[in-house]
Amino acid sequence: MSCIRTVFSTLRRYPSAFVGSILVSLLLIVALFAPMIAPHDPLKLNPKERFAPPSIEHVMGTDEYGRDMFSRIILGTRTSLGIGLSVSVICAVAGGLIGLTSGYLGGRADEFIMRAMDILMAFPGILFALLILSMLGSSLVNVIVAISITGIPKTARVARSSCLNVRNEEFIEAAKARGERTWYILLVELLPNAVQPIIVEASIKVGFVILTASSLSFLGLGTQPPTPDWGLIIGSAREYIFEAPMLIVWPILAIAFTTISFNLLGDGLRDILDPKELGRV
Amino acid sequence: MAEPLLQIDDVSISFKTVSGKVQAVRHVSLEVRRGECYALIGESGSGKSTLAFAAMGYLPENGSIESGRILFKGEDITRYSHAQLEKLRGKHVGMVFQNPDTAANPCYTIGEQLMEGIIYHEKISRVEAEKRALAMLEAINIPDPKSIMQRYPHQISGGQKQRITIAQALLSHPDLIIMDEPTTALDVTTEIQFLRLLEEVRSRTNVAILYITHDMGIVARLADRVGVIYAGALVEEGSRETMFRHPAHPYTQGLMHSISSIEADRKHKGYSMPGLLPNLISLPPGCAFAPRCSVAEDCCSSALPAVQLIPSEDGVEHRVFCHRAGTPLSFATDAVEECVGRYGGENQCSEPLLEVRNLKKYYEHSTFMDRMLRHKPRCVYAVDDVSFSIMPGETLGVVGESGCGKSTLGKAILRLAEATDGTVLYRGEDITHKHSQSLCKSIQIIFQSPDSSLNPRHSLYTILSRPLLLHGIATDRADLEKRCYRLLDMVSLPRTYLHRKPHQLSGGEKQRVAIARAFAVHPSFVVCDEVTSALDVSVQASIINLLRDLQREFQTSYLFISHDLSAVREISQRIAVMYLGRLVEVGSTDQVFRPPYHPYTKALLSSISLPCIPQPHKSILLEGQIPSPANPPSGCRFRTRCYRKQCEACSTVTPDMVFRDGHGLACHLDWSELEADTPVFPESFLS
Repeated sequence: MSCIRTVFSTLRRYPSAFVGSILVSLLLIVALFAPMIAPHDPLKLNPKERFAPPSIEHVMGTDEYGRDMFSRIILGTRTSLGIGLSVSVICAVAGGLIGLTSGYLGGRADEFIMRAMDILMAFPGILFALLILSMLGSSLVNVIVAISITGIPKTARVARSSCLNVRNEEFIEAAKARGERTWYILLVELLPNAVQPIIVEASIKVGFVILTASSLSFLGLGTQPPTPDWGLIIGSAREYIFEAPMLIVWPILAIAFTTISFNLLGDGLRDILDPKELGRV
Repeated sequence: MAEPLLQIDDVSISFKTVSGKVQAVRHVSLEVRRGECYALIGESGSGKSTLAFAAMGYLPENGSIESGRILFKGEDITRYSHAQLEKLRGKHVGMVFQNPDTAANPCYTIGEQLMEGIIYHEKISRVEAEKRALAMLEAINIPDPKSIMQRYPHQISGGQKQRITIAQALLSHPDLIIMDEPTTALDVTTEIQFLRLLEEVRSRTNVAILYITHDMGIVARLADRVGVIYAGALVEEGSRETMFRHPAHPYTQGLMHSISSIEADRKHKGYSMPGLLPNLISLPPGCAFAPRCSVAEDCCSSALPAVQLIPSEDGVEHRVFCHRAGTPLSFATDAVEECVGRYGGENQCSEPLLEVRNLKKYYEHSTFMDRMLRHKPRCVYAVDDVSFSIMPGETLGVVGESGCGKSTLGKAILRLAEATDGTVLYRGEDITHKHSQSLCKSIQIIFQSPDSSLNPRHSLYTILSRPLLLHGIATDRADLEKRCYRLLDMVSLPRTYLHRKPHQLSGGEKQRVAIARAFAVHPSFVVCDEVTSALDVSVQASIINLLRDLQREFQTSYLFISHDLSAVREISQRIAVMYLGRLVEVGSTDQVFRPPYHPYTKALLSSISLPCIPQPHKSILLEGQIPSPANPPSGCRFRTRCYRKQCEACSTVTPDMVFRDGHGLACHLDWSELEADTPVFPESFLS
């Protein structure tokens, strides 16, 4: 109980973290309870009611097959958040470990790892993801794999540079003088001091990943219809942009809202995770 | 008496922070007169810099002047508009900052930065500005000013940079220069050049100086009047002579006694002031110093002390803010107990604990491209052919300017930096390239900055228990906790600190934790790398006392690396002097401080500013810059700056260390010639 209170009192002192965490928890609740919140079956076709304008029955109107837009957007939260969060976590863990190890070891190992990352980064992200997807075939899991691979080098770079800042601190030398093993220095001494930019990067990445995933779906290589997915909705609504412009606006708003929420949270975490701030609570 | 130039009248300054309102300066009144040098002294966090910045109209966004007036030539600058302040700073007040490296913009040449101010404020032409800048550089004896003007800040040395900032401050012919610890980042040999320059500038111009410092030696050299500030309040003010000879406030007296100085009596422990600076958010109602004062009475903690005027011999106003001003105080300290295993006496023929033979550490700089193109790697000769030995329970001090390789030497012994060549013997065993747990247990290191040497994410419990767990000293949880408590007791920290994080401790306390961590494994040899340099003067003595006590208890040997000769003299039995990667002199403390001197040692010793009026010694100014360790001079490395007559061998043959009675000198001059040298300090200082 007291733990929750501390978290709450900390958040209140950082407005962007406060707003960000409220918005993100709202999104998580929506994603968790999506079937209960959605008023209609998002997959149910209703040819009679194509392109219905917003009404009490259909808050955001209906799409070209007469499916309830609001329910589709709500259900779409699940896929989008699912992809966004899992890619961020994969990137943070894998990229973080690669970057930390590379930065700590230095020398030839560092040069080898970073050049490998540079090669990965040299491909435009979306093209690289397209390449992987066209090789693996399009499915939700493959989308996650593809975006993760394109995202890891960037996180590794962030982790490496934050590791380099800490690596020359005297407590690392003190640990070496004490006879600590490399893994201990990496995980116990280095990681806690270098993790802050990685977490911030990961939280900001969520929004970016959702955008990328939407782009892939828009191109028809991500999630497949009829799964409700924001990018997919934009893709299919594109054809009717003059008849029903609102169809494209709703998913765009959803994507923008999610991206902003995670960016706010990331910004706030940057301030909170400062060790001096942690101690003040 | 000259007319007042800057008057600070009952000024209070506060900062708004997350934790509350910080009372940085409280009701301070003082004045700086035309042409005088006013020294403002105090510990870090006492508000001395805040006050000086406020005098120029600089305050961070969260700071505000709550009350009082700051008059410059009779005008209240707290009411100045932005444009007026700009003119004030550009024309009438100059500023010299602590760190010359960050004061100059690395993107512009020195010349451009010098001319910028006068072109903007005085609306003169570029040609005229250049003429004036050149004349100024010539006036302050900068060699080859034309080429200096065209260089970028990174292309000149730190000492030169600080001289350039003086030139910059003087260029607009200001009436006042504010100097914020301008020599703290400099070596003693550069510091003395800087101080000489200041004296010269003062004799030529009528510029007033507000000099902020914590170094009493500099105060004794430069100041006309001295103000002492404690916890944001002025506690005492008077002429330099009065302040050094008859300080009245208990804090000033304590400060004067806690300075570790060459003349300090080595048979007694250094005096260290008890307690800490109070929290400036919730100040006690009475005198802020009362909790640390040994003669405080009830009235001290209830009422603010009013100003008292004390008659002084020289007629300069002597103001004290104390209820108990002039009460005699005792600063007697315990005698230093002799160590049993100390070098010398009956133990003289015992085996050395650690022996370093011809140790070399070269850093090679070669990038991937260099290797591809087979460029010859650029080599930095950090430590070059150094040999010495340390007896059990002995302290060997290593002194030298920054960049002379003394820290690398310490790291090479600990194998934190792999030695290029040579051997390190520990109890007769070659450990140069050996990595083992038992060695880590026997040889430990304490670093300069406790902010960086303690992991900010770990609690003291984690920090202290880790070495105990790693080396299997503690048997179970209860034992571990008991041992951690014992470690805290050992370094006189309260047991309640065990679960705190490092940032909740003061600098001195953090250094105690670092010492406790090193001693957790009962090492027999500890490298102390500039352990007192980052600390306030009032706590330095206590850290040295602690190290001495621990040495006696555990029979530990120290390699005490420092640039502070006074601290080294206090703790070391023997001293090694290093210059550009080589040892130039080794000997017992008494031998090193008396002739024969190596010319470099003499220059180093004579550069110290002592807290005495007048200075009892003459300083030798070293010409030129320290050569780069990547490209050291041939023959004797010191020859490019040596002030003694040189023979041909100096530039061709590397001098060997010649020993007499355990005193080694690496110089081509004859021993008898060196022995005939005049002593730097009078004999009465060294007894």
